[in-house]
Amino acid sequence: MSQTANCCKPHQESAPATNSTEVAPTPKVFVPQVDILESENQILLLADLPGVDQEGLDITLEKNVLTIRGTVKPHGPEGYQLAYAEYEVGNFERAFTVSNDIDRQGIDAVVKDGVLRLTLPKAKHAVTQKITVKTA
Amino acid sequence: MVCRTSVPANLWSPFRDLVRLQGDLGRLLGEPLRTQKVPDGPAFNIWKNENGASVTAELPGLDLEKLEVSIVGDTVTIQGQKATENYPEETRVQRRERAPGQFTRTLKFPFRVDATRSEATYSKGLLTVTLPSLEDDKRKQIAVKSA
Repeated sequence: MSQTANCCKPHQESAPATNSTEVAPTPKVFVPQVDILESENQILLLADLPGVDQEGLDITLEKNVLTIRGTVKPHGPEGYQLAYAEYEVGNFERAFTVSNDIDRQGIDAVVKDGVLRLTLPKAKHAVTQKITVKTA
Repeated sequence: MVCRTSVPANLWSPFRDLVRLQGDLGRLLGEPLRTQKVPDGPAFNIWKNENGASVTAELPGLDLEKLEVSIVGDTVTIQGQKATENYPEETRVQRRERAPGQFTRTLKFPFRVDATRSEATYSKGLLTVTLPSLEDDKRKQIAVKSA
C-alpha cells in the first residue's frame, strides 16, 4: 500500500446540517455518490450533484476537512402535480479528510451537467519519485 | 411516496420486509435515506396535470448524443448512457459509488402521448420530458341536464 492511498477518504464524523437559517423549511440533505481516482500527480474526485450549478456549490477546506455542499433550488415542471416519486429533492453535503500531501493552492473544481469534478493535485514532496539504481 | 420493489406483492419475501424496515427506520430517525431508489436504474418522478404528464429524472453526467426518447401510443421509452470519462492509464480507482453505464426505462401512461408536441430538456443533470396527451384522450366534462 502506498502512503497516498488515504489522501482523500470520507470524513468519519457525520457533519451536522448547519446553516438552517438560510432556507426557510429545512430541506433534506443527501450524501452524494462519489468516485475517487488517484493518479501519480493528482487525486480526482467526481461527485453526482444533480440540480446543482456553479452558484449552488460551496467547497471549503478547513484544516484537513474538505466539505462539499450543494444547494438545490426546488425544481420540477411548472403547473404539474407530483403523481409518482422515486427520488426526493434535497441538498447535498459530504466531508472528506484530506492529507497534508495535497497542494491546497492548486485545487480546481468544475461542475458540468450535475457532476462535480474536483482535482486535488499532490504536493511536490508527495509525488512518487523513482530512484534509478546505478551499478557501481 | 411509492416504494417500488422488484418482488411481486403477493409473494412472501424477506427482502421486501427488509426494504420496508429500512424505510421505517429512516423515517424514525429522521434520516433522509434514499430508499425509493429503484435498484435497476436511475430514479424517475412523474408529474401530471390536465394536459398530460411530465417525467423528471436525476441523470448527472449524461451523454446527450446517446439519449433516446421514443413514443409509441401510450408508451414512452427513455434510453441513455452516462458520458464515458477518460482517465489516464495509471489511474487507480479508490472509490466507485456513482452508477455507471446504460439505462432503459419504459413508462406507460393512461393516455396516448402526442409525440409531435413532446419535449425533452436537460440541464444541471436533470432530464425533463414533457408528454402532452392527444386531444382525443383528454378528460372531458359532460354537462348534466336536469330533466
